[in-house]
Amino acid sequence: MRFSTSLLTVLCLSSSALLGACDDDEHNHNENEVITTVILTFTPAAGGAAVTATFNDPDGDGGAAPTVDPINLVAATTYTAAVRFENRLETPAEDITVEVADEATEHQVFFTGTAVNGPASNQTGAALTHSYADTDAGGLPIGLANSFVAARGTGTMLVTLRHMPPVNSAPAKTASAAMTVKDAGGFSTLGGATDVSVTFQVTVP
Amino acid sequence: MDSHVIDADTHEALAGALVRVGDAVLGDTDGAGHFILRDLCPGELTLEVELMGYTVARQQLAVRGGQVVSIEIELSAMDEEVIVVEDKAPVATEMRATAVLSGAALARKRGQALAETLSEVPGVTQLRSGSGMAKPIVRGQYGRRLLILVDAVRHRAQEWGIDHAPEIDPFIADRLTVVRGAAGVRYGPDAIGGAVLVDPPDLLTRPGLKTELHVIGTANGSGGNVAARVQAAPTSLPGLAWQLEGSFKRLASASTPDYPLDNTGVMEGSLGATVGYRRGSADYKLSYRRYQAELGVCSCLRMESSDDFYAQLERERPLGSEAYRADFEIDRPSQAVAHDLALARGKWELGELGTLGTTLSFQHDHREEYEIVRDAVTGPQFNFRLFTSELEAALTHYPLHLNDHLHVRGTVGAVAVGQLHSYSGLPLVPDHRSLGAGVFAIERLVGHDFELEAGVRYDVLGRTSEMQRRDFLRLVRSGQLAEDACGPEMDPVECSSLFHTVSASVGGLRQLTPAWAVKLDLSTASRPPNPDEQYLNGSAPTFPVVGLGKPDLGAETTYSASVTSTFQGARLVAEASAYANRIEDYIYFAPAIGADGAPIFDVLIRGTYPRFITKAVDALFYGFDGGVSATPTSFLELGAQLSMVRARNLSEDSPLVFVPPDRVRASATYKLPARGCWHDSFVSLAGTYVARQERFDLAADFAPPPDAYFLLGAEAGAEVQLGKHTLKLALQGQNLLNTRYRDYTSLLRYFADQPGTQVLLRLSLLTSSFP
Repeated sequence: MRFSTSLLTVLCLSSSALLGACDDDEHNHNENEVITTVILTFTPAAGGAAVTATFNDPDGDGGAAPTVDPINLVAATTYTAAVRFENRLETPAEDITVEVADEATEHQVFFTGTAVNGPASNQTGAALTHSYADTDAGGLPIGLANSFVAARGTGTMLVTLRHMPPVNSAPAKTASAAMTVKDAGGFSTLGGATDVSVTFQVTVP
Repeated sequence: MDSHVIDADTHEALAGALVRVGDAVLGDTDGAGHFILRDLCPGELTLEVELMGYTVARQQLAVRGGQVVSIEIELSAMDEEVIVVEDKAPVATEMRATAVLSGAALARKRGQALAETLSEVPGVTQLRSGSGMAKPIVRGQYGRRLLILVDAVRHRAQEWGIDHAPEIDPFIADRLTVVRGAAGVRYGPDAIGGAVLVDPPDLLTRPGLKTELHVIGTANGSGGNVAARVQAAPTSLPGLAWQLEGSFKRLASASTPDYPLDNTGVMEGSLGATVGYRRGSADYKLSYRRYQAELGVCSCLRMESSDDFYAQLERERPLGSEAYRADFEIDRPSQAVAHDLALARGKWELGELGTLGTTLSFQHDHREEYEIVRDAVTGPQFNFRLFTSELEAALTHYPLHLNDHLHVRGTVGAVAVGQLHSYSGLPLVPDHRSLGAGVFAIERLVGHDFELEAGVRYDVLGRTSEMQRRDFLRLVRSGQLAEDACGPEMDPVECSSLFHTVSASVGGLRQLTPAWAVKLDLSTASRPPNPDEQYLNGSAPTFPVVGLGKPDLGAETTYSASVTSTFQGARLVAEASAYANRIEDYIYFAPAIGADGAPIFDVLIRGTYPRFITKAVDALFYGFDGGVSATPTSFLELGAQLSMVRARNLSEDSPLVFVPPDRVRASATYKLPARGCWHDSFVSLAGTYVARQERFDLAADFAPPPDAYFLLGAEAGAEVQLGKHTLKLALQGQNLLNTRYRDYTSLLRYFADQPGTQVLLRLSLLTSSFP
């Protein structure tokens, strides 16, 4: 407990509050924990131009509405897909992907929606078939690197970043996380909290 | 022991003199001046005898077992001069419904937080947060519409969020008063719902030493609370008195009947020092208090995304509650709060004019809120600091005696306030600085069996909110502000507001019989909006909604009427009060409705959220509350209380949210006769029934109200006199049936149940010695 700050406070107060401003060194609008932007980069495994799709809300919650790019891919193509998170309230933009990767054992990205069939989504015949292409220190998928196989079709893709810190040292991120989402058709029975939940329109002509 | 009290000069027997040992009142002398003391504890004791107009007499006795003694005590009449010094202006009658908790009633609440301490007063309930903390609700009003005054200084803090519990240790109070109803003239324009007065004990007025030590152990949320106070006045320096107090509390997480409320532990401490000096007609006081707490917020709260929140509403118990523990650890999410109050007060008798009192006070409120974050993020996500300095001067003039039965008493005063608010963290509210001033006058005509009171107050508040240009532009983009609304382009942007408010009241009291009185109060008060209500922009911290403030909000104005009837009989004490309170331009945080009549949703990076806006609506609050306490025999005390509030949004013809449902409480206390050194022993049983809130607006809330519930409590206690020491013991049980319930006015209700059975053991040791 910090009883020492109180005297300083009183001194500061007595000189300031009626007369003018009290210089506050803590005052650095620190935009911690904010994610404003999700960038998906689809690169054809066989080579070729990458396709990017961005969900962007550069002024954060409130203010201007976010913009969302559509995802347009080519049928019968396998893509590697990277996910990147940024905080564009900072200048230059802060790369949050690094923080997620550093805490990979507590994070996982899930791909669901009508255009996705995969570990977390039960949509047989959907336009995209997802599989994870990375693992954390415990051998569980993270979802920052992925593989998608595209087939003809349209639909939505919901990208969800889930933060699952241990509860009283019991790990919350488990091998069955994606299965839990798949079985429930959503995140209602998965522990942790949602840091990102954005929806893209997918078209594979 | 037979004692006989007589006048020292005339040697006439004195009836009605109060006989006590320390704080324990033994009784009055009868018509012949006799008083019989029985069952005294062996040892030394000092008998004190008081009677109006006489100086207090003290007689030291050595009591031995099996002895019958007869003593004679002489009381000396006070001389005139002494009477003048001791003449205090009587406490002004309150024309609103009031309840006072002090003495034994307050002692029985020791160890509980402020809101919980007050919750047995009719008309008062708690607005509970996700931690163990709560704020009081009086007649449906809470937070900034309900003022809390500590040592007559308005508590200035972040009071807008549901989870912003007042940073006050109730242990500092010797007396808690709840004034129900708009009380803007006396306490400040924001007192739309009323006021809670937290008054510390008076300093000693004669040389001596008083100490108290309280130790409280709790079982659910295991842990305890230690509090101590020393009051002294040295013989060597007459007029000087001082007081030191401190308390420390450490509790583990509480548990519901089925699972622990993980991470709801509490660590709380407070310290206070007061020194006073009286000389002649002047009275000075310096006081400093600090409160500090670390509060865990239940892991079960899931408000970071609206999908998670709504998914949780469907669940019987919190997701992952198997891993919950009732331990002492406080992890994120949590709050760290601190509050300092320093004051200097002087009172002077000004010749023929009256008594002038001035108070200069400084307050510092610091609130840090920690969310669950990635390890790379350190520090709090919400960090608020509020500095307030305040100067108040009030002149209570000497009564003007119109005739033998008609007097005019009154007070005029002025107040000046400066505030500085500094916020850092996730985008939420702007910084601000403000200057305010007010003048008020209250006069009362006091007759033989009636009183009339009229008061008026004017306040002006100028405030400049300061925000980074980026945050200002966000307000522009969401359509809340025009780009040129706050002057030419600059960074940071300063937006200014100026508010003039008038409060007024008229009231009357009529004493129908010596025991029965009727009071009427008509009041109006106006509250200027707070900066968060004007400039909120972004996801709200308490609920998964996008919150948008309204920068051009004006003050809200209440027009209230209340009728209160009180009865103070020998065997029956009762109070009943009915009220209606219309608030024009009531500032209400509610869902935004689009042109098509459907609620508006916004897409955020964490999903789709409903949009809430602060809007000015017309609201009506009305209801009834009352309590009765009967002592049909000297050993039985029966009590009952009822509180009802109705609240409507008249503009949209819908019920308002977070309005407490109806509740009744009944209690029975059986007082055991004194036996040996033991006295004031009792056992009591109390039941509280809280109805379901049937008037709700699902669009403005998120889930239907929880079911009605009944809670049973019991307590047993006793006191033992050990020479100069009084030891009080009490064992208290709450929710003895281990009822599983959720409370409509609790943030926890969306996620988890309230705690189950609680048992408290309380020990208090009081000592006083006056040479």
